[in-house]
Amino acid sequence: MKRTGLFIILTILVIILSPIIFMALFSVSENRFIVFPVQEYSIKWYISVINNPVVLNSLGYTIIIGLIVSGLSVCLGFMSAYWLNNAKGINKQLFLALFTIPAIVPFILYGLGFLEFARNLGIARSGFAVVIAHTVTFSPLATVYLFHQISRLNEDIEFSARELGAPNYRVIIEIVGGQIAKNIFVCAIVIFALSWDEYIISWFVSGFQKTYAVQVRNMLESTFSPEVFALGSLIGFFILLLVSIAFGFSRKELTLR
Amino acid sequence: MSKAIIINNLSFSVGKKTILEGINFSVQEGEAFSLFGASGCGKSTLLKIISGIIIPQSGEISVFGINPAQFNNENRTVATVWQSRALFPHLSVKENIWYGLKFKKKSESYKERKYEEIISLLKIEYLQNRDIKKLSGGEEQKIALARALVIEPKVLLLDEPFTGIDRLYKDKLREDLRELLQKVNCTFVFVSHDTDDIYSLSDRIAVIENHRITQIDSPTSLYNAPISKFIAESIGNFTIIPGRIAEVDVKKNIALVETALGIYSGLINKDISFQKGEKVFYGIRPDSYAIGAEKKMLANALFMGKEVKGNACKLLFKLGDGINVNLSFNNPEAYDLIAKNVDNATNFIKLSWDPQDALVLKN
Repeated sequence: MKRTGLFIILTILVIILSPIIFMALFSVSENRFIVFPVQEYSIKWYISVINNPVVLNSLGYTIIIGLIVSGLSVCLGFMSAYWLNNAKGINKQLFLALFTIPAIVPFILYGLGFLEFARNLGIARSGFAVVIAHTVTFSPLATVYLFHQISRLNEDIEFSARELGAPNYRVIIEIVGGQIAKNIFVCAIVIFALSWDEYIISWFVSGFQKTYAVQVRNMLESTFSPEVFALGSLIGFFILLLVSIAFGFSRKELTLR
Repeated sequence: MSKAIIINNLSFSVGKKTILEGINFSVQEGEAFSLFGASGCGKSTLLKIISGIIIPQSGEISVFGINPAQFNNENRTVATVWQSRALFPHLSVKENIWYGLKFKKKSESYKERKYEEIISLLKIEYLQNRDIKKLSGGEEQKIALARALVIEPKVLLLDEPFTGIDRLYKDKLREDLRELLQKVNCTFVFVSHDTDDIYSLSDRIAVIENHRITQIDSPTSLYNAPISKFIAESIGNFTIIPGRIAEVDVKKNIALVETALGIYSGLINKDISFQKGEKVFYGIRPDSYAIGAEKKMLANALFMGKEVKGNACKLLFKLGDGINVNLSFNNPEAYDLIAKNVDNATNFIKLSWDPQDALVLKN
């Protein structure tokens, strides 16, 4: 039984990871064309990609966008989660369901809608528009995740802090936020990764400066180069590292609880 | 001595559910006052009202002349030790105790002195560098006490202070707390459903039944003259037998009660009127029983067994259809009395008591 379970899990894992494994394989192929099995190995595409100023520029740009989006989303998500948890006389489950809408609506429709919205505001085709669009898309996920963390806290702890003289903003930040600091960090990492990878909305609203995902798409549209595989492998490793850190923190949290 | 807490005709409900109704009492400055009642009777809610966390729908409350709803950082005089302790799990032991001091408009040297005073008073110097998540229940309790007392409250509220603490350590902690009450210049309000706690720590006890206060008295008075079945049973550990009033002699404060076991006489409270035929409870004080027919009131009891713990011996009986009677003795030889008196064929034995050791209680 144990062996069957392990076999099933490994099979699923191979299916899930096969695109990444193939991408990593082709990224170290000497050959410019996709030939399987790989005949000759080389790291020349990695050297090429890390010396490509357009790629490096888009990576830096995406990191800045990701950091701002993740910071804004977590702040908005935390505040709305705290409000929702303390709200009286409302259907909290209904609100939570509404908060998940941006994640459910197809990104192509959402991106198109946001483009029109941004045009009316006069911010279309700018980095600002990408930040706003990603924050609007991902902060509700932060709300839902952090709401579940806040709702599990012992409310007497908050009462205690107030009784000891803490002003409201310090209770929220130091006591409520402090207790779920690790969850907030995990949430920030996940939103950074989501913003980093998001392509469709970015393609609609970004201007001259492209995010890395849009840049990869552009690279694929023009002349194909295995540089894309090298870049994809590097990014894949980076995202895997981020998710592992996030997972490590959430596991630690669970153990402590 | 002035009044620390005054509550007049206070009521609180959640939706249509009544939590507290017509609550009236006052607590003297420096008094150790307890709220006793079954789980869910509203005693913890009352504590939250005193601390200003819950605002009642009607009635008046003042704590040293201030309505708790108007408490702010300058005029707050109350601190609470919560049943869950409510320590800040992400802060160190020292940061927990310091937390309230941060908001006091006092010099750093004063705060440092207060901190040192409190940890020395509670003898918790050794806990300062311990991980807050690795404290035992008793240690958590002491940190929660230190955190509350360091801000020098005039009123300290303790909600079920010994919850989750093992029996052996609980007795020691209760001793420590009693010692602390004498050293700290503070008014205490406890909430508990444990009679040992309230007996050992309170000057007066208010009993809450069905959302109302039914009796406020000293522990001794509550034991000697409980006015309800709940108080007699839970605080006095009385044997309770249901019955009906057969006759009342108001002059002698005595009533005859007809029960399934026989007709018995017992004392009545002169302030409470009883009618012939009225359903009542007949309560027998546990320390009044004699094994054998030595006293005036008699009942046949089925001997169920004994529990011996060191020098103490508990004899277990059943009266009638299943009313338990547990008699405790401080010597294991008490069991010999059974051997002398029990009917070996049926295991029945006579228990007796005097009318003045029994009370007639309202249904």
